[in-house]
Amino acid sequence: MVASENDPGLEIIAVRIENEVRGTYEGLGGTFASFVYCCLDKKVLPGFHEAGFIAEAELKDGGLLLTLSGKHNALKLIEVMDIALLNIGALPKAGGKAEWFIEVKLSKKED
Amino acid sequence: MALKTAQEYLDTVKKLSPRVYCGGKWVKNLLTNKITRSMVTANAQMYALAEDPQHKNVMVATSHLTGEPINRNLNVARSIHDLDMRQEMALLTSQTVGTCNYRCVGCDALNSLAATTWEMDRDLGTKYNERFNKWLAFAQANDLAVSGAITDAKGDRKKRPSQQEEPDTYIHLVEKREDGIVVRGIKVSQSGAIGSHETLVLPGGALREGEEAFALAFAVQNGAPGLTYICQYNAYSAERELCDEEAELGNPLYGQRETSTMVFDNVFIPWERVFLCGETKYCGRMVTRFAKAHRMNCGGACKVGFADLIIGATLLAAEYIGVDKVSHIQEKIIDMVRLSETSHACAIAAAMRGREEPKGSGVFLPDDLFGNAAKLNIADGFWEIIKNAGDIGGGLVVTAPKLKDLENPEVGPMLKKAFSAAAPAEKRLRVAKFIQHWSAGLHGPGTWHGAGAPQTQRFMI
Repeated sequence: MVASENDPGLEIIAVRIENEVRGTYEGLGGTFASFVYCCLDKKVLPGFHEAGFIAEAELKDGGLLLTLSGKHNALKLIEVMDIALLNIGALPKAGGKAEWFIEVKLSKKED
Repeated sequence: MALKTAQEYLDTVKKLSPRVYCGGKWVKNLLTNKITRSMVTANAQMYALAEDPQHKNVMVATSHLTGEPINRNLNVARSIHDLDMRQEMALLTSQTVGTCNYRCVGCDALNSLAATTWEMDRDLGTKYNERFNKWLAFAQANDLAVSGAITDAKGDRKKRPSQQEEPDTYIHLVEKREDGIVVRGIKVSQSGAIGSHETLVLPGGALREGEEAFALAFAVQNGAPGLTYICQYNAYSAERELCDEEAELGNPLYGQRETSTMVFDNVFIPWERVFLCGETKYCGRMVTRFAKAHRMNCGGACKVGFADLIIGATLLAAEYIGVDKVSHIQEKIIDMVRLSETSHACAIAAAMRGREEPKGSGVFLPDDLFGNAAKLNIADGFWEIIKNAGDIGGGLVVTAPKLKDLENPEVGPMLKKAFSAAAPAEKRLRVAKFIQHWSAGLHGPGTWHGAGAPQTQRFMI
């Protein structure tokens, strides 16, 4: 019983939409860093390959602030984030204290 | 949840969107594209087998990390029994789907990583094994489908990786960051990576001092941006894509064997997923240990499962034309069994003579000699087996008309007259198509090269 006794090496990521936590996800350590690299450096949301889908992304207060292009309601954004996080190795997990958060903002722009 | 059902695996695939290109098109949905669906369906069957109480001994193991039941495809062998069940799993999965167990390479890669990261931590004081165990516990807890990527594109074989004009012919380090590494390069012939959650990437061969940038082992999430999968495309892909009914195909549900070229275009790998970075001395050992496991499984057992299917179909073909009791037919069937079971015997011997490697690691690897003999024997033997299948199956194996033509009011009655023998025409055509799938398909060269071309086994022996 080596791996998970004391430090299982996992991290929890919370997704906030309109200032409300809409989902928590568990991944191996480094999952948030992977997600941030995709959004900031590659400017691609995991699982969504079309360029320009990320309108804005910035690190703020230890979390990631994300604005997606197009008009989406909160429900659609949850769906999108569910896919994006799965594609980077984070799975839905209820409860637990989130080490990281991703704040997804509704885009005001039409495109 | 340590064991996923086939449906739960399929539910995750619905949300997986790796960047996959197949036959001139981008694949938006792995489950609606006929080619990628065959791969995913075969992978789902690996989960279904673990659900079946009849196959529990073979398909389910106990995690040495958590004590929980896990799919054997994610198990680190810790005993002779584990090795024996591992090779039995290769046999069973091949007999069941008639194509790759797409989790097989990942399984053998993780066994090599378990042994080699332990050795590096012992020798160098690194933390690779601890990291690897955390990754493995996560993969086991979520029953992830893990593929393995070993073979680099390699470029000009006369040149070392660092001498290549195109450095991307080998996976290499681009940047070391505080939170991880950035890698790029190309791995080829990757079985089933498109429908897996993660891929374990190992170096393609032994490396020397000065080649540190190519000394990398890591786990990558298959949906990570920067990763592109370009699927193989051949006559069988076109046939599947264009056919109006998949029931016409030789292996309707699971297909031939789907691989892809895996292109890494500056992919970020967090340190938590990096299991070797720069330690050239351990690359050769890592690959050798992978090959040791894979030759027992892919060579010695998997292809025997295929051979069982071919032998069964050949017997049926003989029966359908009334020659199954003819002595020279029976002799040829016996030869097919001899060739196949010799490899299986070598695989069993490789497991039985397996041992802990390195000492103290707790990881068991198969015997090198028997594993290599198993693969070498089947590389030649498989051609003999499919030759006999084509021989006994007759010209119909390549001259059979479309199955649906039997229902055509104009030509159907003529075809039924032509091809009915000791069995109805439909049965004959179906078995002929199945034998065609093997004898005129991809599996001859696939068996030759899978787990390394025979020259590598000769070298090891």
